[in-house]
Amino acid sequence: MLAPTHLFFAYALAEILRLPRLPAIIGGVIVDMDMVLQYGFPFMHRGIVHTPLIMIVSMMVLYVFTKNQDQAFSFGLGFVSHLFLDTLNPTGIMWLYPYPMYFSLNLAQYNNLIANAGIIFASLLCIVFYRWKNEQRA
Amino acid sequence: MNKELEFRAAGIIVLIVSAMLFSVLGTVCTNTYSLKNAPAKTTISYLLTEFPVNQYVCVEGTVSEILPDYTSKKGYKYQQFFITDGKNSLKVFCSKYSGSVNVSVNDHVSVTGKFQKFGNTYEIYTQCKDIEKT
Repeated sequence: MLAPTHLFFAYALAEILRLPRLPAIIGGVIVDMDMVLQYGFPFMHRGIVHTPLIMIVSMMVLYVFTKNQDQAFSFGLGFVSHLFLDTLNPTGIMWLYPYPMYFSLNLAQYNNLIANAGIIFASLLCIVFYRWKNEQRA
Repeated sequence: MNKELEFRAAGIIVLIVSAMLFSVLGTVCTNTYSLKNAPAKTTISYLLTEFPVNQYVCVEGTVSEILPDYTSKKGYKYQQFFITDGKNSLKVFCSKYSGSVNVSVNDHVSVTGKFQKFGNTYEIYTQCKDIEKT
């Protein structure tokens, strides 16, 4: 999916679970930084960086530096939300890396306008609703 | 505590399900739009005399030669083969991103895609899944 879709989806999940928003947003969009990698498998886009293995490693690194469990968990949540949305695309994700098999639900192309707009819309609704509920309960 | 947990879990489930539903909806709408706006059928001879470069065309032909698959530097895979109408041949270059097409020499196919010039040759570029055996 496109970067704004990942951003809003990660933000919505963080809002629902009452976790810090910024690490989730960063985790949700930073995964696509691997677009600069062009060295062939697995050092390419949708290669090793798009795997739960790197997600766990980066969560651990973040925890070591921040000593903040919520921030590390929020970053991981954003990361896994990115992997989930990319699983909807035909290419898919290597969920079991280092086993090199791509898993895909093949529901929509990454740049499908309606899919991206719809997910952003649903995310926005969740953000507004859960923020309102969170404020009510605070 | 349990109600709170259920409340949060419901939000996550709704978000995940809506992401999947919008993906399906997007694909269905895009496919419907593509079918309604399909380009008119033309012939290989017409393409190689009029050269409507960068236009979307639909052409039928018989597979005359299959070239080895091509892999780009980024790792994307493509199929390539020639189709002929008996007089002229035209290269078909298709992305395997959404799936491949199983074609053999002498198969009759219908190809819908972009007619373009690549180097010194003309070709039709499309998604392999959009190639139909007729």
